[in-house]
Amino acid sequence: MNACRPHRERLVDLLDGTLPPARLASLQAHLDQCPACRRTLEDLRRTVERIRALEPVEPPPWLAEKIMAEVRAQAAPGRRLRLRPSLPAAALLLLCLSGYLVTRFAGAPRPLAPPAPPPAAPAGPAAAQDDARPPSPARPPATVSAKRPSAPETQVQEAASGQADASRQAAGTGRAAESGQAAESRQAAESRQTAALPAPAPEPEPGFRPAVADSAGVQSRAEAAPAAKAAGPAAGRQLAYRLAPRDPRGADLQVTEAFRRAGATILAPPVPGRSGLSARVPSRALDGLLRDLEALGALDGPRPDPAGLGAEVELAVVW
Amino acid sequence: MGTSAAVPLSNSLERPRVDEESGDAELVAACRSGAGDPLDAFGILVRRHQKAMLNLALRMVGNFEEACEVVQDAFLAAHRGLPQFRFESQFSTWLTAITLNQARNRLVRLASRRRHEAYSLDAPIATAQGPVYPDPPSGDPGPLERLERRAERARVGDCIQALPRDFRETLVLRDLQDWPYEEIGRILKLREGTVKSRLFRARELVKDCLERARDARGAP
Repeated sequence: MNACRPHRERLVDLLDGTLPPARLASLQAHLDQCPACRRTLEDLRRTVERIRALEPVEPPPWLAEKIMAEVRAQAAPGRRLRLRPSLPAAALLLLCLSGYLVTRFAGAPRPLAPPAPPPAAPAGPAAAQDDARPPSPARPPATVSAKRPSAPETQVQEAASGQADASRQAAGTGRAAESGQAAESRQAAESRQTAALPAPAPEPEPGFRPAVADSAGVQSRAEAAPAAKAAGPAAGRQLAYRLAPRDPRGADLQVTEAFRRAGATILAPPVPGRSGLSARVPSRALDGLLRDLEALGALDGPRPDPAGLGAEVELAVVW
Repeated sequence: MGTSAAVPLSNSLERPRVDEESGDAELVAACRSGAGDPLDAFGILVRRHQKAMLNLALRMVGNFEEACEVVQDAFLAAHRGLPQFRFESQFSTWLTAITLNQARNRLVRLASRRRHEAYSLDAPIATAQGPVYPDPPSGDPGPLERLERRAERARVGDCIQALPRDFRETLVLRDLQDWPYEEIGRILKLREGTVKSRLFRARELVKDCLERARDARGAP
């Protein structure tokens, strides 16, 4: 068999029709007296036929469109991050926004310990402006955390792990510009772990502000505000998802239909130029709704245990 | 495979007009010169090469959706890298090398997440309209023949997927992408002799795998 080894390369050439004519005669002479090589040649010929019979797949119609959308985003001046529908991207936006909100509402010099307002009075800008007063011993940050125990912390952990993932991806593809932002985001995550603000939605498209996504309590719909204020944390989790629909053109209708099937109350429907939707969803229908959304495309976002939710959750999806 | 070679390098004052008939080198030059909308030129390159890159990625990562992601990442990387493209090879050779690289990275990530499963070409893609099979049956065969063809594609696809990565790359580039040995050598940075020997070994491994599959199902 060792005598056959030098002929291997020529067998490949013979099968592929690239054997120089000058070498054909010597290979043929070897094949005439070597049944093992003849068998090998025949086996390989059949194998190559079977491999080449595999039909190529067609690219989905949306692929080129999606690639060019990403390329345009990448080429946009001043753009450092690639926006793609993924958990790391959503987590990064969530952390940046959270950090901003913590700083804004707690006061810049002492971002984690805003002075406590009187229990009955709503927290307002006046409280945040009182920077000189030390933190009230009656309401240390730990107390704030204890009031909102599990859900926001879970989201912080999810977000932090997503951010770490994003950083690893950036390192792997040489996008070093993101590393500084990762450090900022880690600080924001630490701030959030103490302050435990409710989680905002991933950054929607310009002009889109889902009613549920504004952690500052500024709701875009008047009717949503009283209910949220009255219910407080007991009103349930605010969940944000990013969907990469397989059929972007039909996504508006398909997502809306999925929410309707789940018995949701739609707060902000999708409209042309605004690919997003927010709604109140019965917690018992959440699992089914998430499955329906996953059937429409890749879905990034938390998968909470329905048992730990209130009767309803407020849910925002952007795509 | 790709077109090109002559290099109309950048003279932005001339503002070369490009269209679907333009060669790859012209399109790359248009992307780099800033003439007109460079993204139009890149869009033509995307539409022209996406199918070949998708099929390459599919055979490498074994999953349609992951393959779409690989192709997207590859084109993004190519767009970022266009200023460094030196016309020392065809654009398609360069793009293929980038796609293979992205596929390798994706395989590493998939393996590390322990969710990389053996690929079957039979595996349907879930869509809103119901499951869709990546390889639609051609012609109008009967149901039994369709099933047999699908099973055959699945067997061959699985055997390719089971190859060691180096062998798989060589076999896919030659037998499914039809690249000449010389270009495969460029893409994989291998000597032509090494390409041929890997190809021989890869085909042998696929043959053995198919024989085992046949024996396992007791077919003659």
